[in-house]
Amino acid sequence: MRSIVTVLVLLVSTGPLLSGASLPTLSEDQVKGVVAQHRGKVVVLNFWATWCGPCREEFPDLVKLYNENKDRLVLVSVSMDEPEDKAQVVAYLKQQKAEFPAYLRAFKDFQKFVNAVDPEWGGGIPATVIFDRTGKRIYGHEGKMTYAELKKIVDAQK
Amino acid sequence: MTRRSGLLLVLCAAVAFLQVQGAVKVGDKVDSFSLVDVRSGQEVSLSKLAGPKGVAVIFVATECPYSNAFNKVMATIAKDYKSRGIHVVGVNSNNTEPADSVKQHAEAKGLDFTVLKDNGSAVADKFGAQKTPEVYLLDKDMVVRYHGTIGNSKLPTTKAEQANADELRPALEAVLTGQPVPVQETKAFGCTIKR
Repeated sequence: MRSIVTVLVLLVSTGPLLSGASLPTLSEDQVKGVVAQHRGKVVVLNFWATWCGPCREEFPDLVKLYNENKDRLVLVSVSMDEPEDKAQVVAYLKQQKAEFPAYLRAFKDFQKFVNAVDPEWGGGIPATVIFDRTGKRIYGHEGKMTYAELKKIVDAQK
Repeated sequence: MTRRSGLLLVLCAAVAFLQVQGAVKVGDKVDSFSLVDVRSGQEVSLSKLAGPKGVAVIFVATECPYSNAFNKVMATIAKDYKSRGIHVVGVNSNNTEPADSVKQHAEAKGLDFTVLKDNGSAVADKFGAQKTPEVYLLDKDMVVRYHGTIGNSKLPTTKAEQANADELRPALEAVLTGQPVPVQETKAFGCTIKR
């Protein structure tokens, strides 16, 4: 019984897990809550899609960044694929062995969604927004990033 | 890393989106530029390509599924507004897409408007364009009257049958009639331009 409770507590405290069959959705009203949920760690919010070539090129670096720094950062992946394409998103996450929180877009208004994430984000993907341990937005980038670029920013957050 | 350089990194990082935001804003007058027309191979200027009432400059791609979803919409807009005085000009600024492939793509996808190759992404840099498709609508005085998405501003789609021009059309109509553009700026979803 204790082990079941422990598993349940872990599931609740770490957010959606992960690249399995379930893929929770994310709306404009939920973005801030997701960032706040991981306060105490650096949060790397990444927006991508299965049809986006540069996103796929970037993805292994995100997996590596998370796997090597999960003690101090959380990578939150948000697929901008359309809801009906959920199966291919799940398949891609599994194939990449992505073990971080992953969501599928569920906004009603993309304009509001972008502004909820970061008013400075122009709307293109891939896009990455990074928040410090207190939940303060410290970085935003539209376009592919490398492991080294991401790591440098994360390392600056002590 | 010293504390000072660390602080500098954070400060530089904090403005990363700002550095890539559009250099050209709604209300700005745009200088003409010249690029090679992928069909003719000749260099042409934007001022020569513009219609008597304006020009819609659309940054496009050959390999971006999101841009490709709007191929038919762009062709329809070009056809509908050419006779009314506003021309459509496509600009391909992706360094991964050479002029010959841009030409083949334009012909295969029925992009019946001028498509220019922006080698080195100089024009994209000048406009501050970041993704495809992304439109800048200029009036007869080359002043930007609308910037952003062609359509589907609320629910972006890669499904061509769902793509529309619900944001660009009202802007075109306003420019044609000399009225204020109802929504002057939207955030365009799409693939980032490969510089």
